[in-house]
Amino acid sequence: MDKAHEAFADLVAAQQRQASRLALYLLRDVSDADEAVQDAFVKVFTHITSYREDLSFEAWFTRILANTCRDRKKARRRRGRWELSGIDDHPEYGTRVERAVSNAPTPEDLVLGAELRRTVMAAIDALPERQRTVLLLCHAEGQSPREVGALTGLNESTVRVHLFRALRKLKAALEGSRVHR
Amino acid sequence: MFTAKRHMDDNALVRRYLAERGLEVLDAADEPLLRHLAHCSSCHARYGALGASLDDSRDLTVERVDAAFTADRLAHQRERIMRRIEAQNGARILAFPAAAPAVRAPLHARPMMRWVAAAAIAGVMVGVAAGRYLNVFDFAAGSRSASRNVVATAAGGPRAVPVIRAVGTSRPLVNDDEFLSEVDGAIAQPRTSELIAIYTLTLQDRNAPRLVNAKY
Repeated sequence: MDKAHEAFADLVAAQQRQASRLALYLLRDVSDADEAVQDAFVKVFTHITSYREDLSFEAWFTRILANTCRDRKKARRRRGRWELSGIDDHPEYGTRVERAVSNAPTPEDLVLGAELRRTVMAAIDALPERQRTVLLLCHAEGQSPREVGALTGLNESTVRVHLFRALRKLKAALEGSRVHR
Repeated sequence: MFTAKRHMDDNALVRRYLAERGLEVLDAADEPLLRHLAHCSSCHARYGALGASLDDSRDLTVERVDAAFTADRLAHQRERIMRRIEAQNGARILAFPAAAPAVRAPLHARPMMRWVAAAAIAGVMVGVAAGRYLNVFDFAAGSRSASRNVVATAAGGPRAVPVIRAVGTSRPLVNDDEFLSEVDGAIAQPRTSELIAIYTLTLQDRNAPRLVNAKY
């Protein structure tokens, strides 16, 4: 492996976890997210000469990744027309993300409270897509509304509104679960 | 300095939470509420609970996503990315040569090439000319021998020339009736019966008995 490849391998190692998280937020499917991250990194390597240094690498890469995820989403939607909507949206099975993570309770789960976990996840999954995406990017990833706006193509103030609504719903869901307990 | 007397509602608490994390911008109208929050123990407790819940939800979300991408999975992902990049690089090296046409020197700058081309053309011309000459020679020789034969035949020389005459081509047939009568004649000849015997011996057809018994 030459030096360029080694350097790129380091870059991938440094960025891939956050990239995978972001892709999973946007796509909600582990395999799809995995492939989208791969595609994005390959695109970065192929188009590295078009990188402008006035933009931070993270912002540039995130934009490429977001576009890749958007393309995948479109393709999935097209494919979905030919497939039966079955297990994916079934309430008994949860989302693909939930299925990807083992449901078996671990001692840690028991300590932290599996109930709370389920409530939070259910509340997030129940959010409209834009609110969920904005919530995950801002709240979980700590990106600013401006960054999220650039990423999603939404106005910065629209991002704030979505975020506010999402958090309000999340809060309501958490309080509801506390009342039931 | 004005302080809000009413308690903060959920919206105000969420906005405060977001503003604390740089995700929301509060304006002057929010100032009285913020001062209220600083002095009201009830609102302060609610705000603390809200912050803790939302922080928990964030941590749980990140944890859930990280659980989906284990270290093994990430290593595998990295490996596949590098393999794809290397495959792409390989493809670039083996790019079709037409993509980058080689710069060719003009013909006058390559005297050796010119000589090779000239020699090839000359060879072709010589070959064609020689071929024509030989053809002419053969034709002349053939004509001479033919005329010699004609002379010998006419003279009725001692050497007997074998005559091969093709059946049926010795003379032109006048019409179909004549042709059919010739065929009948050939069948009626004595050797036909021998052919029929051979035919019978080798016959595999189920119609054999009928054919064998048939009269020819």
